[in-house]
Formats: sequence, C-alpha cells, structure tokens
Amino acid sequence: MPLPKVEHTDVTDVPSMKYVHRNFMTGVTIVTTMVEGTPRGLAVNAFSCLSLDPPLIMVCVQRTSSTFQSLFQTNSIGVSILAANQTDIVRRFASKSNEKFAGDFWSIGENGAPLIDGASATIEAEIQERLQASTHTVFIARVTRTGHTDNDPIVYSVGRLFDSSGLKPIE
Amino acid sequence: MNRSLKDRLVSALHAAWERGETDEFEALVNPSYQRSSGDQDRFDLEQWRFVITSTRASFSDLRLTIEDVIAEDDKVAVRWSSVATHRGSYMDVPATGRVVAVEGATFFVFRDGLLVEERGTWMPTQLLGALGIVFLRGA
Repeated sequence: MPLPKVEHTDVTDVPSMKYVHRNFMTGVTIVTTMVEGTPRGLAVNAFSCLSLDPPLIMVCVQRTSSTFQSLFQTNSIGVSILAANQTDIVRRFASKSNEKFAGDFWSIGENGAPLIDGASATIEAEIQERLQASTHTVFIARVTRTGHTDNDPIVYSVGRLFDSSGLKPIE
Repeated sequence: MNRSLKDRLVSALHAAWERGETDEFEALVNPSYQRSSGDQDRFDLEQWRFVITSTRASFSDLRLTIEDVIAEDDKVAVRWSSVATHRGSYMDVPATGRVVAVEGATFFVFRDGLLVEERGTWMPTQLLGALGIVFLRGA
C-alpha cells in the first residue's frame, strides 16, 4: 500500500506550528530551583538530553514564567521526570500558583534544588550556559547526580497526558 | 588637544558611568554629537543619556578604570575597564547578582573644542557573554 503524501505549506503561524509540534510526544518534567530558601519550579516539556558524555541536558523556558528569574539567580537546578500517576503535580506546576510546593511531596537534592518524590527519574544539574532565543531562554546544564524509580513516566501529546505503562512496542 | 580638555573628558566619563551625573559630559558635547559602539546603530545625546540611565539601573555599583588616554590633534583614545554587579534586568536578562568585568576602547573626536563623535569597540552583548549568557542572533 502506498504511503500517504505529506502535505507541505509555507504557513508558519502559531496554530500551524502547534499542529506540527503536537506530533512529537514528550514526557513532562518539573524544573526547580531554590532561591534564598524559597523553592521555585515549573512544568517543562521542552527538555532534552544534550549529550551523555559530558552529561549535559537542556531545558527551554519562556520569559513570562514566574520561575524564569530564579533560573538566573542560581545555577543549581533539579529536573524531575514525572511518573504516570503524577498528573496532579503537572497541573499544579503548570499554573502560576504561589502554593506549588505546599504539601509533602518533594525533597531537597544535594545541590539544594527541590526534587519531586515518586518521579520516574530525577536529575540534579548545574547551569553552564543561558542562550537567549527571543521569547525563551535555553538553559544548558551539566548533570551532577541522578535518581530513578520503577514508576513508568507520563507522556504528553496534543495537550493531553497519557500513561506510558500501556504502550505497545512496534519493534 | 589641550590638556584640560582631556582631563575634563576623563572626569566626565567617571561622573556619568559611576554616578549617573551627565552634566560634565553634556557640557563637552556639540549638538551634532553621535555615538556608535560595536554593532549598534549611531545614536545621539538623548539616547546616550538613556544608555547611562539604563546601564546604571542594572549595574548600579559600576566602577570605571581609565587604563590609558592618548590625545593627538582633535582625537582622544581611551582604553578602559569596568567592574559591576548585575543587580537589575539588562537586555531582558534578569539580575544574576554576579560581578562582571569588561573592557574596551573608545575614540572621541573633537571639533572646535567640543565632542562631535564617539566610537567604541565594545558591545553590550559582551557584558552578558561575561555572565555566561549568549544571544542567539538567528532567534
């Protein structure tokens, strides 16, 4: 059976970009810092492993985020890759709430940044570079410590959250 | 170049950049004054005042050191360095609280005893580069 042809367009407006990028599934991370004893954090799906050796990661954060400024006040960050049973944490950290850290669901990592308990994996890292890219800043950080559980990660696609434990292998 | 003019220029640079006092500098300037620096467009005295105000709002403890001053005919070449703490937002980059040091050279051109042109080698992005912040030009 012939493969369907991809329809191409020169339109690069916001709805078109959203429509294209929703085809790329991601997990959900909570990126955190601790500034003068106050925990700060936000939900980020623009997270990626940059290289394994050296161990570098990158996260991309919009300037309008309430956590944005704190990512310039300290280099130490935490990245928690959320598990499928943590949808409440996603919603909490996707908001502008001042009470994001209220409750007993997080711990402090060795580098001082908060880490979400029960996450599929956690990363402690030190920011090395901040790349200013228009409305966003790309933070490149070197991993200093990691942790993981057996909890399957959450999957984000087209504005919805999915449980990765039921994924069907195709190869 | 008379010696007092050179000394007045150095004094005016300290007053403007370290204390935000622009009167001394403005007394040296011809109405046609223009400044260019690095890859920035040329700008006039009013825009220069804005640069002083906005830079000092971000780096309020700025200290300027004049390393060399060479005057010849109607030109003065100044090699300078400065140290400051990044205390306020600068070029949309939030305060990092870090101390940054930058250096550069600026050439001043006088005509009939008044400053008509200032041309610097320094670019604002260099300052942020010293803080580990890189501007992606394509973005």
